[in-house]
Amino acid sequence: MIGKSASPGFAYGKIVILEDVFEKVVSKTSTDIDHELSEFERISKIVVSELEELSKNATTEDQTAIFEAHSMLAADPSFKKDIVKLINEKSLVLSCAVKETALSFMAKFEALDDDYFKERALDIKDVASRFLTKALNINSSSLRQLDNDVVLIAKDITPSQTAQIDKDKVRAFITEVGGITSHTAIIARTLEIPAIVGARGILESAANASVVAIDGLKAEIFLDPSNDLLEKWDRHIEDDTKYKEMLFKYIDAESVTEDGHQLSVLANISSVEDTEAVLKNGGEGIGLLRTEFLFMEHKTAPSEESQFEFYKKIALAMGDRPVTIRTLDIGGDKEVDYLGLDPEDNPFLGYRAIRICLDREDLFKPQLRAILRASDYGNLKIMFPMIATHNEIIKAKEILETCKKELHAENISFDPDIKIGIMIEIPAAAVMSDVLAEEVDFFSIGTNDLIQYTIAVDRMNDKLSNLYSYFDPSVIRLINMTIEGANKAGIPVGMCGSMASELQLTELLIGLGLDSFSVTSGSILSVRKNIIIANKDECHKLVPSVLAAKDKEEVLKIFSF
Amino acid sequence: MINENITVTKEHGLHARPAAEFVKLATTFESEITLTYNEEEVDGKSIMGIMSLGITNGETCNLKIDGPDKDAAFKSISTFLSA
Repeated sequence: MIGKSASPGFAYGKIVILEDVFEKVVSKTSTDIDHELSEFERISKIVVSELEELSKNATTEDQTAIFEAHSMLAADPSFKKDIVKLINEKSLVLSCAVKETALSFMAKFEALDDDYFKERALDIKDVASRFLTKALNINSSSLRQLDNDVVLIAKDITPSQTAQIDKDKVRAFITEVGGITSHTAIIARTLEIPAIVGARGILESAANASVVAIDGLKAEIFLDPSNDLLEKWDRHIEDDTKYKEMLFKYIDAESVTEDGHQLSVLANISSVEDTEAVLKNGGEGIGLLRTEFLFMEHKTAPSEESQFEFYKKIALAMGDRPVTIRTLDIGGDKEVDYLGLDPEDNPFLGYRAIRICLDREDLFKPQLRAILRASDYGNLKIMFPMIATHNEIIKAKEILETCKKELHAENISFDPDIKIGIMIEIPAAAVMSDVLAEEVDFFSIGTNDLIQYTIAVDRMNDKLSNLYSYFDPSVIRLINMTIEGANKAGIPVGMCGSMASELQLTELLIGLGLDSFSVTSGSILSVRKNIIIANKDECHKLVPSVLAAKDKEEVLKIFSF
Repeated sequence: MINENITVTKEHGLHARPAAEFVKLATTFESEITLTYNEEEVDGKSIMGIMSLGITNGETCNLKIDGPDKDAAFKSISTFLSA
């Protein structure tokens, strides 16, 4: 079985399935209303005191706030009144009354025209789930009394569930739904626990299994694995631990090559919480802050205000360290109802990213204004994705200028010299890099799309996986061209695609003249180590033979010794 | 019973934290406190009720207070809403 990689690493353990207790409620009437009411009183007291206890024992401010809010919800008079009413008037059993009341409040919150309120629906679900596990007497969410070495499997994991997870007992997470920016994925990376999301059908297949092993990076799942596999996993886990310990000595080191060239290792992130892992791993800044999920997680476009708060929090968390924010990169392949995008035959060649933004100033301007406003709180840069032509940069810059003028007129402070860069991920941009470089302050090479567009290969297509390769000389030539174009204009070039964390290629990328590597926080130290032991002059000598290679097999041969 | 219309002039309206503060304040009084907005009437001591109204800055709602300490309650709640 396979899903999407949310957090790398090898792990195995006993399966614990976290169920959605709402689905366990059976519609029923009661014959003993007094019993339902007294049960409700009894359970209410337990739930409220449990939540107060959790809030007292919480280790972070966020957790304390979550549990405080939850204990207020659990003791809420309207919530209680409605439950009691349903029991009295419709003779419902307690669990049904709790579920119906929660659903009706959730619907009210979801209908409000404000992101913050909408999200509170999840909090109500969380609190109601606590009542339900007690009312139905199931112990599925007894997250606090887990055995050692377990792997949690769930449809999705709620914020309050993740806040209770004991890092020393949970070896991995697997969820049926969610993408790499889902709450579960972010928490897993913060806690550095291997995790796979979007594993369709895992709940059904895991129901009859007792042990599961996963490879978080390849997103592979093995139910009831053989002893041979477990032994192999033990070796991987031991190697990973030793490797991590060894890498730790590079935590405060500068990313300078043996012969004195200063480079930098930055991180790719999607959330405020991700910054914690970046700093813990010695990241020198953020090379790519993805903003798509701000737009994908809600039923309406996020307001300028909520985006501002988000960018500001990240700016503050990173302090002086640079943070490059990529403007909205979304297209017809993602479901964002409020954008009203038509399905396309070729979404990757279609209406997406900067192409939408230049057309829809109602989306683009609030984002640019929010980034500008947040630039007053840290070292922010703006990066436009999917640039194919010179004219797109000119237009994007014009809109940015308009936003600056507006803010100036409104007396709102921002960094007037904020740096602007573009992603080089379309071959056209790589070919025209010397021209494009005149217009911007930096380039960042997005290798996933660059490879896909250069070789015309869908990396998700299993039949074509052999074609998709970092080692293809066509791709390396385009990277070389991009860096040469940037050098002419004297601007720096970074790389934020997954090729930057391919350790076999660090030397070549240094030789080609790359200035910064932006990788997942777990890869920061291994890339830095490679930089520190490299000699740029020696690395440069690799370049001619690689550029002259006929195919990727020949390139691979150069790196095989 | 006190029955007055009040315009909320808090920067973030009755959002999460202000809503919680409102409820905490309301529960310090013995009187019954009812808030009506968009024809929806809720218990002023209920966080779910208050939040489900979604009142933002500049909106007007109706406040009803009845009970032994209604005057004191009205005074501190109206000050809170227009702070």
